[in-house]
Amino acid sequence: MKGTHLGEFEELVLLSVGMLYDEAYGVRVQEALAQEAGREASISAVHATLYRLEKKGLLRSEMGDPTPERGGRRKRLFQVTGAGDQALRETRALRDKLWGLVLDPALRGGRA
Amino acid sequence: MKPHLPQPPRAADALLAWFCAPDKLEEVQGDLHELFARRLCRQPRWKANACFWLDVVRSFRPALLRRQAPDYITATGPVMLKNYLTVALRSLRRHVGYAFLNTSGLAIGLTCCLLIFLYVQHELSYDRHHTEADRVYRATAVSMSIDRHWAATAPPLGPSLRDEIPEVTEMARIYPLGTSTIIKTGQNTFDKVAGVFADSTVFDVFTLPFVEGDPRSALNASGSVVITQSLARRLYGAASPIGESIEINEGWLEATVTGVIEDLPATTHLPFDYLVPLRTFLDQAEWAMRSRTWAGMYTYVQLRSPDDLPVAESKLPAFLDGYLEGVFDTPVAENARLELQPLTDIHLHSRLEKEYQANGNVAYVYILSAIALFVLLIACVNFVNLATARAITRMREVGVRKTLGAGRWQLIKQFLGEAALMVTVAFGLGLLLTWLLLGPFNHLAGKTLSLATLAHPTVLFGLAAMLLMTGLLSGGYPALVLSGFDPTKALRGEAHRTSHLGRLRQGLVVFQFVTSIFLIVGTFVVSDQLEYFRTTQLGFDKEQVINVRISWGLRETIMTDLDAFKEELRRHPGISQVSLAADAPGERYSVENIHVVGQGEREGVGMRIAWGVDHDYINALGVDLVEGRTFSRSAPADTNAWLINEAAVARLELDEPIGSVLDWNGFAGPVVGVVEDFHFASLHTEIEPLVIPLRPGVGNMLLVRAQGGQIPAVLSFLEDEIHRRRPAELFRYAFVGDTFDQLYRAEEKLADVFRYFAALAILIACLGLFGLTSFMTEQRTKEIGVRKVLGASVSAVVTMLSRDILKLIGVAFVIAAPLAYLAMNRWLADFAYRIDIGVATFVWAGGIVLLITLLTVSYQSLRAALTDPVKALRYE
Repeated sequence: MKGTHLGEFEELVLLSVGMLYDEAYGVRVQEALAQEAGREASISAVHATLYRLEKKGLLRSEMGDPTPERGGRRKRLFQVTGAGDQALRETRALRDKLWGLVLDPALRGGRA
Repeated sequence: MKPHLPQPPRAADALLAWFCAPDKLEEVQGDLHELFARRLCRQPRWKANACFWLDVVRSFRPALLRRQAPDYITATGPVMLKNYLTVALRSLRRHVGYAFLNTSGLAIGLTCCLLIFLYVQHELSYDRHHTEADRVYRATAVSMSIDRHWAATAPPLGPSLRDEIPEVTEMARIYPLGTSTIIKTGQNTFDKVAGVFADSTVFDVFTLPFVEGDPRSALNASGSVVITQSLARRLYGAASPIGESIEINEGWLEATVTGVIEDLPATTHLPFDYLVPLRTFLDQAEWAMRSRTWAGMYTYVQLRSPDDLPVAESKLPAFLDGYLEGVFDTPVAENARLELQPLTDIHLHSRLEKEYQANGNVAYVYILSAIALFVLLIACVNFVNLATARAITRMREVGVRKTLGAGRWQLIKQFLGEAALMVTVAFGLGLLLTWLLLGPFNHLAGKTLSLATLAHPTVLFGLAAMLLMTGLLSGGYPALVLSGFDPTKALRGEAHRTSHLGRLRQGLVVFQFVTSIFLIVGTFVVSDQLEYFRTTQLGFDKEQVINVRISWGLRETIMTDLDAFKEELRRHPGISQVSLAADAPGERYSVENIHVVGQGEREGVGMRIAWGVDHDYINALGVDLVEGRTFSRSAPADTNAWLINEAAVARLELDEPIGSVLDWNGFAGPVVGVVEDFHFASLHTEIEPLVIPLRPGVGNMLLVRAQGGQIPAVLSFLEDEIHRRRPAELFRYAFVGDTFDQLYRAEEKLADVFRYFAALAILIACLGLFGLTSFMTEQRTKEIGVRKVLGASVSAVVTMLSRDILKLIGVAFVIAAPLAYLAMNRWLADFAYRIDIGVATFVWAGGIVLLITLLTVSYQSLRAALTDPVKALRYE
């Protein structure tokens, strides 16, 4: 079903939003990605992903406060929705399940 | 005060604002600005700027772009179309006046344009009906010694060209008998028939389709004649004319009809009603074939192909050396040159000496085209102007439509569609009007234009393009502007407050009035110049001189005793002088080579000559003598005497004119008198040197000087006297004044054209202005009400409403006046005798425009100013 599958970058963005809690807007998300995940993404890529996730219903947003360095413009603050939370958990559960099924030597490049 | 923060590049910001979806712009732009501010702490300004640009450019991705289509469902197809139509008709019905003004303005403009187009098309299509037109040329001759360029050439030239220049495959010569010959069949006489002598090859060179007879043999026999279909109908009705015999110019020539050709189209530079073999003339006039320099007939040559022209032209000098061998003492190249003139260029571009008839003028074609374009532009501008003015009042409709989910593109389509509807109606009306007005216009322009010309692929395509352009222009502006309004603002009526004329509309109004003022000034100048032509003293009594044509037969009769005949005529109390002559003022005096005996200058000077003149010529015309005497019957030596005008004295550099001996091809004699310079030709040109040799007995006209007031009596007396001597004579007369006025026909037509189109331009401009002011006042109804309640007088309100428009007229005048001055001065520069453009012309033009404008505007503004303010305030 559409919206349940998360791309890798989408997952990172979603997690960053969750991490930033009520400070999640474009610039901060980009910053978090760079600092915590080492991913240098352009601001427009971040925007595009945020909007896409919102459209999928995994994020919701509201307008925040303006600041002077933004030229008096408000921020759009994102929050992870229940669906977003569930999608993240499902992804993680799927990974864990698969990790459990992987035989250790197989990952080291040899056959048992 | 907040500290001034450095701002990112403004262009990049604007770019982002342009493409970014409006609902996302704020946060996206904010994020970019924040990033910029942060970078600024670590990086130099230029680097931050560059990064900002990069961010903006990268943001150009689908997720952030404007939404193309809304997610909700939009109604399309027949339902909406029906709604559009309903709304369009409803708004038309509510503003019937507006619809009428707008459509009729455009229709009138289009009519003008179509009429002029037909005219120009007609002018440009001269001689193109000949299938071989592209390789037919007329040979013209320049004689350097007398500084003339002749349209006509000597008889032997044609055959020599064909025989000696291989590129010339065929030639035909045309020698006019005159445009007003008399034809007799049995008992019936027909006047004013134009005839030419022509080589039998004329049917190969020109396209003259035969209805009856054989083109190969029709002009072979000496006594044959080929007539046009309409002449055949005139002479014989429905019966076949083949084999019938006709008499040309009262016994001068008898001929049998051997062929009937289709009527020549109106677009020929060489109109004629019948053709007789050139041989008939050449057999009688042996001298003609020996003359190499007599500019007598028109020589048309057909080249193998149009590409052969340069080759043929390069061979002309060598050919001429042989052809004119022995004619000049100095090398031929210094005396004469031959040129080949494309057949299709003759009508519009050729103004040579001795043209077959007065040709058109390409400058007038340009002027008219420009006028047509301007009038159409004015009409379109009007249409656009009114449409935009009115569209503003439909703001609310736009708001509702947008709120209900209409996309921008839908609105654009709606407005364009409405414009297309109006334009189509206007075009229909325009075509109808053109059809109705074609008759009067033909009369005005002296043409036979027909709407059938329009039924041509390129023309239809052009019309369609014009329709599309007007539709796009008139619908495009409102469509784009209105559809862009924010619906909330539109509904609140905020954008409604454009009660003043916008910049664009101001420009359009100025443009309209520049054109109108220009045309009015043009009308005045052309009319004034015409008036000047008509009233200038010519140096002789043009109003009182009657020119009576006499036939060859009558001349034989009266020449038995010319003096007695003249004496008998003079006995009538209304007649003071009579002269027999071959040349009269207002007609073409030929140019001949005259030299002064003993002056040593061998080649002589080209001078106009008044031919076939008897003793009383000067007296009959009323020209004053300056020196010496006129011809005298009592001095027998006068048989070879000359009179010359002052210009001739100057041209020949005669210190002692009386007694000098002039020679013209062996016809030599002393000058006995000098006459005052008089205008024997039109005022387009300076008075040229004129010589008048005494040569009674060869004239073909009687110049009768009559007393004013007795003209009718004199005319009937003359007719009786002539019929008494020769009962069969056709009494044909003209006033020399009328002949003169005919010379200004081109200017008269131009004046008419200017007058009508200036009137139309003003009319259209006023229609537009009327509509515009009515909308302006409508929109300011409330303001006017408030002003009146607060005590504004009627005149104050009227002034307030008219001021804007008057300012525009002022600007238009300032632009138009110098333009018109320059253009009309250029036109006047063509005339040797001309008026000066005075300040009065401009004052009048400006005054007229001002008056008309005030009348137009004041109707609306007065109505608004007189309205009860209570009503005005309750409005809405």
